[in-house]
Amino acid sequence: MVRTYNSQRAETRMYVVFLIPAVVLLVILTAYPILSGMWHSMTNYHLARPAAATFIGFENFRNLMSNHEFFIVIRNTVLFVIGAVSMQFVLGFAFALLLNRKMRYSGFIRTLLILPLAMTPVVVGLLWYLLYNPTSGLINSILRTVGGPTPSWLGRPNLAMFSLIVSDGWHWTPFVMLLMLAGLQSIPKELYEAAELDGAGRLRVFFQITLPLVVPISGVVLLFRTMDAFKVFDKVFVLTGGGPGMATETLVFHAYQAGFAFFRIGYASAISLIAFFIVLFAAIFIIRTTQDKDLSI
Amino acid sequence: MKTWRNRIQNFLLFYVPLTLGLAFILIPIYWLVTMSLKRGVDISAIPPKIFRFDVIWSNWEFILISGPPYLRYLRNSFVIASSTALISIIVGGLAAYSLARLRFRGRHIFMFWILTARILPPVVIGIPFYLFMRRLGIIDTYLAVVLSHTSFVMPMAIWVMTTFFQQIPLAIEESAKVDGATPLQAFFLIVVPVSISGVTAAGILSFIFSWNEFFYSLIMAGTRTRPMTVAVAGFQGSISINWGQMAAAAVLTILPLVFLFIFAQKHLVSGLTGGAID
Repeated sequence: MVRTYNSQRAETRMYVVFLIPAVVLLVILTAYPILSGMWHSMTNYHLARPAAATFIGFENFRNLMSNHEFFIVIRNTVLFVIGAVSMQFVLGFAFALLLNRKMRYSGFIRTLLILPLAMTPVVVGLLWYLLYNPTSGLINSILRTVGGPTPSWLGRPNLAMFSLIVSDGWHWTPFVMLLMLAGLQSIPKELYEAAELDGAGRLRVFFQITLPLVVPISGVVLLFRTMDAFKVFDKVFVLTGGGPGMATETLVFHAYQAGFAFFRIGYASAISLIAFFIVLFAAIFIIRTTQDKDLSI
Repeated sequence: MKTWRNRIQNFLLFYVPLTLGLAFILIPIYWLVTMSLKRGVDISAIPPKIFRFDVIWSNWEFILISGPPYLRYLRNSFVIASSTALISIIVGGLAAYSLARLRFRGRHIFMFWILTARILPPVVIGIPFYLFMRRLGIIDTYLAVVLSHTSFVMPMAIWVMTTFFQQIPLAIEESAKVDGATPLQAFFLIVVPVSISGVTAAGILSFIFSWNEFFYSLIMAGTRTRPMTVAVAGFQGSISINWGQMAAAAVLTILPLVFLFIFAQKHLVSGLTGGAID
């Protein structure tokens, strides 16, 4: 291919010009806020008296570390992430295994199963708020009909966390199912045929062929879901408002409250920065442990 | 004998779990939709009225006509989501094309920066962004809400479209240049037409992300620009909740998405999973 020096220059120039608007927007919309947030985290900025903000160094972080509430919030977040991600993963993988065979209407069944993905997170929160309602919710109506216990699903501390996890699990199980199904379908058929010739049982095939070969895609799934679970806000806001007490208050919700209910911007910025670094390290950890090459996502 | 054993095994290991799974996913949705068509007494009836209830339309009448202006919130959502999607695919599309074609050292850093924007919890950006917009005096304008949405939608769109542009063979542009086209002509006359479908998919995905967004909307939008997500979440805070009306508003919020989902399912599945599924 013959190409003149000039046309290559013109091409490169075009690429650079194409990049400029996006770079400008991203600097204004992400880089500036992050840096500004870092600055705020070292001040005692209060929304009611912004002019009085002064530099206080790492005071906010020191306060956080000595605050009992902060550890409750961290514990809640970790509980939620582990609970929600493992529920989604186990159920989603199970669904994928069920759908990974030839059957009639498989496309239609798949569409039905991924309907929750088409739903707005706030609406999923409201939907489960309706289902959990102690007096008129579907769950307790069924339980009352069969004479079972009718607990206040969102009103008792441990139960509220469990209920929150189930609502998130319901929303994202289809996502895990889709990705795991793609992973299962990419396993070469010959491997199964060879295993069958060797007379390997179902369980052995599952543990020695299926499971090892879905590790990379599982890593992608876990990465996506862990990152999003750490950031949970909408469902907490709608379902429990962080309560009862502080039982379901997660990191992001805690930062929101500190900033927009108590107007302590400096303190809230410190919390959100910690949240950011936790998510970042979790993401790097998952990539390192499950992927052998660079992740292209 | 063996076939009977197989059948029973098949039934227990396959049909029973599949039915339970479908029930777990579908019953809540069915319950929400039918609730919007029920009277209050039928909603809280014991045993629950699942199939046999009188269909009424007063909840929908309240949401669409006599109650708070939900149609205006719906329109706000449309304005915000379409503007966010347009900015994301135009500005993001140009960048994605460059990132797909240009090999420069900063490319990895740029892609990592974009990934970081995906990882970022919304509060991190939300708080400084809110203060910034407040200083500019543009809280509760479409501009503020759209810009805040663009901060996380555009990185996602760039990521999806970069993967897409990389799949377009370089030979297409090369042949145009052999015919004497300038790089710019090659882009607009050759690349843009063949990438319409991929860019549309990224646009729909951006629209959905923005439509679903709650946190930024909650802090940036006020009475003038409030989108559906914030409006519908408001039900929860009220003292006595009208369940039927709440269900109707919730269904109204997801109705446009369900249509988009049905018509563009293949693209969306690919986009939602970051290109991991084609």
